[in-house]
Amino acid sequence: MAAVPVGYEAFHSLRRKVVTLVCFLLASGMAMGIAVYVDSTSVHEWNRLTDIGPIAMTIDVDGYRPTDVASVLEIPSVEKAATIEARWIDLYPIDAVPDDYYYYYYGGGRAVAFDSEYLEAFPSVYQIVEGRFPENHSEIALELEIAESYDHSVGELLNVSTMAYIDYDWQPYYQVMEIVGLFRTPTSGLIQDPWDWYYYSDFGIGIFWPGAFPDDGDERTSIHVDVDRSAITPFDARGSLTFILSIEELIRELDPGYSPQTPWSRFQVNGLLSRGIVEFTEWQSATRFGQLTRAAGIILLAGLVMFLAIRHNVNERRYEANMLVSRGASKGAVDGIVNREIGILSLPGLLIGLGVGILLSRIAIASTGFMEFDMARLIGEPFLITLDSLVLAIVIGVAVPIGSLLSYRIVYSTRKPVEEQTGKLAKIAKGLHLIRWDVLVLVLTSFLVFALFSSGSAIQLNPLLSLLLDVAPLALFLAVASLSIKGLRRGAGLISRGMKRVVGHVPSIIGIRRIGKGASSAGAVAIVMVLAMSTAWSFSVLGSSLPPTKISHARFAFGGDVVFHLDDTQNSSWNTFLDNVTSDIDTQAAALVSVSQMYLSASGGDNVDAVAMNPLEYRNVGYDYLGSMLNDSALGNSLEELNSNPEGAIITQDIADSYGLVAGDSFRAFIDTGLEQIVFTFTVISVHVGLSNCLFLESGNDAPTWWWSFVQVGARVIWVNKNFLSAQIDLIEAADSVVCVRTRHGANGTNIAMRVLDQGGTQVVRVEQWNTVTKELAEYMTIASYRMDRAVDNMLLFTMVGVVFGAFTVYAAEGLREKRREIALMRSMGAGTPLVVRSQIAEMLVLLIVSVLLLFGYGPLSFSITLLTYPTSYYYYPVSVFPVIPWVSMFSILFLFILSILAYTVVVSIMGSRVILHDALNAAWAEAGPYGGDL
Amino acid sequence: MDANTIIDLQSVSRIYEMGEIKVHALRGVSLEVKRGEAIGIMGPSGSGKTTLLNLIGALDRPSSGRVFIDNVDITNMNEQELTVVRRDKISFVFQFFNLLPVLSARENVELPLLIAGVEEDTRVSRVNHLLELVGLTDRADHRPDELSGGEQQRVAIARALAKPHGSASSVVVLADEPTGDLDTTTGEEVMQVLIDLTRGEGGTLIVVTHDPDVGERMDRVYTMRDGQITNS
Repeated sequence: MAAVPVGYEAFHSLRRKVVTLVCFLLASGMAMGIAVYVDSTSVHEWNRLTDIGPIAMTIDVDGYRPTDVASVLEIPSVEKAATIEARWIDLYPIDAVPDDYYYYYYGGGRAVAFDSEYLEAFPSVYQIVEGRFPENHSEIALELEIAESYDHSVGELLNVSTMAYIDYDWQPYYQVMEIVGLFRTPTSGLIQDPWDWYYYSDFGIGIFWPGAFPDDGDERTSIHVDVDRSAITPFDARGSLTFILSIEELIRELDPGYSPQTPWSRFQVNGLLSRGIVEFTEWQSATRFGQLTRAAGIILLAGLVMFLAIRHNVNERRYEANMLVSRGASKGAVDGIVNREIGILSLPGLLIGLGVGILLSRIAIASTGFMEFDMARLIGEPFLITLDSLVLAIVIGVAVPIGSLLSYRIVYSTRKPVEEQTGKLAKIAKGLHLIRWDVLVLVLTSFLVFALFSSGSAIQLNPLLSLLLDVAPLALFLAVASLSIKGLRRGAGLISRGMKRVVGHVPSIIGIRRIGKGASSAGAVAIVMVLAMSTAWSFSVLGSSLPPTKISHARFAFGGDVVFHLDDTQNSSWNTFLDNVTSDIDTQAAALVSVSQMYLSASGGDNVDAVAMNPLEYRNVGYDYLGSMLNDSALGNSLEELNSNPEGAIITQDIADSYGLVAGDSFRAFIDTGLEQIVFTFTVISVHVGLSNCLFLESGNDAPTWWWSFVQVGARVIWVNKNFLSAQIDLIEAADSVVCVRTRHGANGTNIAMRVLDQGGTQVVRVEQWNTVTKELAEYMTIASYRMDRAVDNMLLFTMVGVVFGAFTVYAAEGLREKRREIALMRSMGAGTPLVVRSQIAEMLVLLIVSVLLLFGYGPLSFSITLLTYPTSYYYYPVSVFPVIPWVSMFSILFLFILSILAYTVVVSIMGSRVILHDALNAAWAEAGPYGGDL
Repeated sequence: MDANTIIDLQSVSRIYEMGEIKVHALRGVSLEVKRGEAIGIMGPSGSGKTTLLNLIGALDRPSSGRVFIDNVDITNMNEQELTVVRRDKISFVFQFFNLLPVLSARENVELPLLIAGVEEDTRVSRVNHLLELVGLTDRADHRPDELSGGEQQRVAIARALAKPHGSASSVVVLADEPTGDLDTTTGEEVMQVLIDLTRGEGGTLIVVTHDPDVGERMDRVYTMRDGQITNS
């Protein structure tokens, strides 16, 4: 019987445990890093959403009693409460007659009246910015946003209407009031659309004098409440919400008839603070989930490394396991020993991973863009770990190792040695061997990916296509990985011969051929490296492509670098405005276009945006859907033709497809002025995929969500000659007038806009109806989701280095006994340290080379798919992304990866070459023996 | 020192320290081996046979005493110098063959010559010669897992004799239980090959064995017990 191996360390292997520990901390580290980063960043979001002003909640009281305020004040944690009278009002012009009211509505909403007690309790809720508070029944103060939206000013008279019982009839009551002041409230600026004020203005659109309207009308008494906010903390958002909701519930319970089963209460609570906290928790959960989903691929990669580590563990303990089995232990009991050890190791791995994750989160917090850092943010930015994050990281940190262990057990439990027989089934099995599943998957998936790429930006509109495109590369990669492993196994000899001149004869035959023997491990390491590096490349390409994409999209949406929508009532000042624009030092060219709605069918459907322009003028201003200046694109020639053929029209592809139009065809369109329909006949000059309609004032910075339908940019547009249209209609009345500007190269469009507006442009341009590409880009790059994506990308880049090192460490540790024996054998034959080290390095070098070669194939595919599926906007553009390949950044990443892996390889090889010769050579070893060899 | 003496151990001791426990594997062993001799070392398990072999083969260093290989004191040599000694003067044949599994039989035999930097033509002819001597010309391109135990051991013997040409008389072949993992018939064949080839090449053979039959074929046999040579 063979001797027990000397030096066998199964029972005391610190090395094995350390390698396993290093691999196990990856998943928890990543999850914790992402979660803590989201938590820390969320402090800003928390501050924004909970900064609701001095009022935590408002209570609409039905049948107000004087004791109600005192009852509310008695509730624990309520610090202040005061009453305010409220009623719904509608605003109309002073000279509107009842029949006109529908057409001349100025908006409406809740209006309030309060006394000195209220002002004493809450002095800062209503802040006068112009004028004063009303002092009698015929005065009103208006909220600033409402006033600006409808162009009201102090001194103006309004017809203010409210519903009231008059002569026992429920009917509108009108009161003429003078606007004496404009005020702000805590929600000023938060509600964008004036129509939303009706529903969402908790603080009111107007302040009136108490008793200005009939008492038996629609009045309600509200109680404004503030609570003790010391218990409200982002650390425990859920606890904070529970706290505030409990106060709200206690308020509702002041009505003895209230119960959760019959949830109506005299006290209707509008929780401003609770609403903010709910919005925060929803945002935080969605963001955490979103970022973890983005990192899912890398977490799976970490799972793969754990799989390798578990396999290493099992292999290292095979002798021990077989000895135990030979002594009567059941396989289940032996497996249990390994499972228990892995379970125990996962706990310190989890704890250390949590610590590593916290450090990683600071890398993300210091990020200002992809691979851009501001070290001051390391200290300046908040640091927060919530209970939810801890729990999430722990769950992931435990689930991934367990999942890897289960996967290992499943994979290797199905591997049984089979002796091939000669029966029918054996023949079928032999035949099936000819069908290489990996080649089949590779071919099919390649076709699928090519087809998906060819479908262009339709992918963004189709969730199934999008999902397929997300999954297809993984299938492709698995096929390539399988083929690579087989290639390594069979081609190790060939690679060895090829590398002889590079690394030397002995290193090539010993070091490199070892890859073929351990191809499943070598292949797995190569997979990890390729996936890690291609993901890093994807991050880099994404980071460099998004800003140019946003610029191109904004230019296309606006029709230029800067856009102003003009007030048609100020048309007498347009020329002066245009002169100011064109004479600005940073303006290259400007054009005034008129955009009207035309109909292509008699039924009034099939409307299109008709952009009437001076073609040669606009050619110097606009951009096509590919991001090119019009004077440099095919559209430039079409515009020249439009100039010489005023009855021509340049149309979009969708219109051409709908009506079967090609260049040279004629079509008719009409404008409905309200009084008549004016018909035009156009000749198609050219057809293009997309044309700007110059009407958009934003490019869609928010990412799409499933409940939002896409806004299509550049579709259903025709470009026509302004001279032709203006001969038949008054474009000022019938169309929206827009000034589009092209700036000089490198100029800041926002500066142009500010200068022009300061020069009296605010009178000519409709309120807030202007935008610039510069401003749009700046806003996009400060959007929380954009910044966080880049920051998490940075963090994941560092994590991936750890994943790659983990994979290499497992590979280096695998078969270490065998490697030591080989080293000892070489030394016993007289090999010096340099030769021994070169033999170790040669193996890793080939792995690195194979990985880099695979990377050059898979990397471009990976980042192409990333670009195509990254949700930039809920606006749908003809070209969804404009890729910019940051060669320097990508090669820097590659260089850093290779350098760090090489350095690691050299260190491991040098350290590994130190072997106790007699120990290694005299250890009982048998490659073909019953207790040797790795799975 | 006699020029014909190729191995000279002078009061060599080896102590292994395992925590607080000291194991005296060798206690003041002195031994001389003449060039071209075939020496057997026998004794029970734990008597220090393998330790003695390790010290002779420069795989280990003595705790005290001196070791001379071909009249050169290797006791205090550094690792680089010992590498040269192992390359030029020492060869090993192990119980479990210790062939490299990724190399064919031919490549395993060729390896020491590659390490020594022997030119290709010389290498090829030497390897072919050795493979012919051990009767494995037909199996030269097979890997160890494709060879029987006896064949693997013959490859190991051929490898042990693959030294840079012209230095065979300075080569010491150290065999640690070379037939321990083989059946009787195969073991006898292998042993015969080992002795014939070593002698034929002019080398010196030192064999550690439990097998009395092997001992009988040696020129001299030393018996060890408790780290000392008790008789010869």
